[in-house]
Amino acid sequence: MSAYPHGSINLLAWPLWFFMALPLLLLDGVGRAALGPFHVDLTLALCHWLVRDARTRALPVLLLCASLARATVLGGEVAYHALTLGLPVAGFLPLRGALLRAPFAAQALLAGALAVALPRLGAFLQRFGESGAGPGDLRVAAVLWAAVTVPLAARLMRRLPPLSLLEERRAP
Amino acid sequence: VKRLPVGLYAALLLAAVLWTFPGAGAVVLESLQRWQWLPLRLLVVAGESTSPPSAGDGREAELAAARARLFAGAAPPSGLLAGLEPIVCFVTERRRAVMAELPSVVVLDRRASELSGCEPFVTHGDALVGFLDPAAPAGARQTVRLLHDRVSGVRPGRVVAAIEAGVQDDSGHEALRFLVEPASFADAWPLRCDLVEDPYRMAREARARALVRTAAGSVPGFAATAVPAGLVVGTLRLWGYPGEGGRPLAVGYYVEPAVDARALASVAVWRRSALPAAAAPARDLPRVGARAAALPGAPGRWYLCTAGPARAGAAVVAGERFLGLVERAGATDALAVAFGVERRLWSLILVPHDAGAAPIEIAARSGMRSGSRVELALVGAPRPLPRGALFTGAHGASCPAGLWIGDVEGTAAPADRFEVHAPELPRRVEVLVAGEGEAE
Repeated sequence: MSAYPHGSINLLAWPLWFFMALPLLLLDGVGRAALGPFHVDLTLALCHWLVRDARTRALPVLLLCASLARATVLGGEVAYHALTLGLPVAGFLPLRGALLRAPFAAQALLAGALAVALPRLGAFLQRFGESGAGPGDLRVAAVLWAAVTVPLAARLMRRLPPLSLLEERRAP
Repeated sequence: VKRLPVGLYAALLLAAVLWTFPGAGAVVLESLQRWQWLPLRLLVVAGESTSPPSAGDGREAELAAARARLFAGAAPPSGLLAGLEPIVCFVTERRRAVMAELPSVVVLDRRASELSGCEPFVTHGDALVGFLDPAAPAGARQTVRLLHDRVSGVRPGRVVAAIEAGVQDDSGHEALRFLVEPASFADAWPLRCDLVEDPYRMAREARARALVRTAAGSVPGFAATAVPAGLVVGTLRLWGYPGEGGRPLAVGYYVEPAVDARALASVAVWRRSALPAAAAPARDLPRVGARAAALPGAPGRWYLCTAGPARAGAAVVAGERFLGLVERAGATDALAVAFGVERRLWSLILVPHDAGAAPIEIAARSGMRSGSRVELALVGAPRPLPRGALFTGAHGASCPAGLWIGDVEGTAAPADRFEVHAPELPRRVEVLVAGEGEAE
């Protein structure tokens, strides 16, 4: 039996996520405006959850809703944000099996890698178009902070709807 | 293979295609995005305010006086061209950016039929900026091909020009003539000198930053557009190697245009006095009322609940004051960005408080907005800026020139940065809407 058997998704989860993605990213912006680099980065937490816990078949729609919301909050093309969020997720997704059994340190490592990859990729893609999310904060302290707080935030997010409804079912 | 996230890979491939071809799928994505704004709409409607839009901060008379002087920069010095009468036209749009965001075609606020019978050349102050496009359809807005416009298959605009050389003869300074034509995309300056009348003298006497003016006469075998002599084309620039005594060994001669196309907001078209006067076009665009809410966590980004359809690129105003631009628009709502939030190029007009000083058309890039303070970086050479009122230049049909942004404190010395105080977002704003005929 597969470790990740696919089952049906609660239909309520889709509209809930569609409308919740924008408030989530606005909340992220409020935190960034209030606390600067040492806020709990909910965008990174979302990516962390997408890599580790999200239902694989739901990833395209989850990414689409997040990209639509990010384009509203930061400006720019939806496709730009889909690539900025989606490429790191696709890159780290093969590690999911190992991450599930790994200790917190491995999750922190993933969060740190995402904290570096997202702004770097965003800045790289920005060269090919006008839209962009800014350079991000790549100071060591900020990356370490993200490495510690992002897995905890992701753990909290997976317990709350609608993300809890879109989580991969694992074999008992 | 079954466990590969094929859906994710397909979605990323699709995103890459849409990123490469932004027009494809834009309608679907923007519709979805507007549906996602639904909770914001509920919040804005719930927090409705009845306060009217703020006017010009009690400075309506002062602003009206400044606005009356707004386009004086395009008006030529009196008696510049005998027997011809200038018509000042406003630029509504810039097109065909060729090098370093330098547009090479501008669209005027008058139709081609209104300007029929005018002279082919177009000026700004005493500078030659380009030529009326003879191919513009009569019912469409007249376009002007700037001097550096180069299109494959179309003969470029060439003018006979000259600099005053250092050698003196009986008649004083003797002019060195040459043709000025569009440079190639790879060149450092937009215009280049060709077919120099006396290459030896040019190499010996040409000085960088010498003033280049149009000259009378023609170059045998080469068709040049006839323009009156004495109009400023720009300043001479030399390209070459460092030479002895600080003098470069020039292997190419270029001209830096007198007027930066990125800053151009108004021009003068010339006609014979006998032609009937064209009616001045209406410049007060219709407005659509909107309730506004700043997006929490997204500084400088606003959600607007509009009373009618708006357009992307339309100006958001509160009374007399320009606040920002619509980024995405739907039938009854829009997403707008405050002036100075995004790093973008602005065409601006600074009207000095000194009533005797001429307005200055500048191009500047917004760098940073902190509260109501917006920092702007001048594009081009640093220059001293006087205290004055800052207005928008041309930014498309729905964001015309002449919208008041705020006051500039000015700089005593040549500077490349200056600040303007732009207001915070009021609850009720208006969005300018170009008519169907305007939005071409």
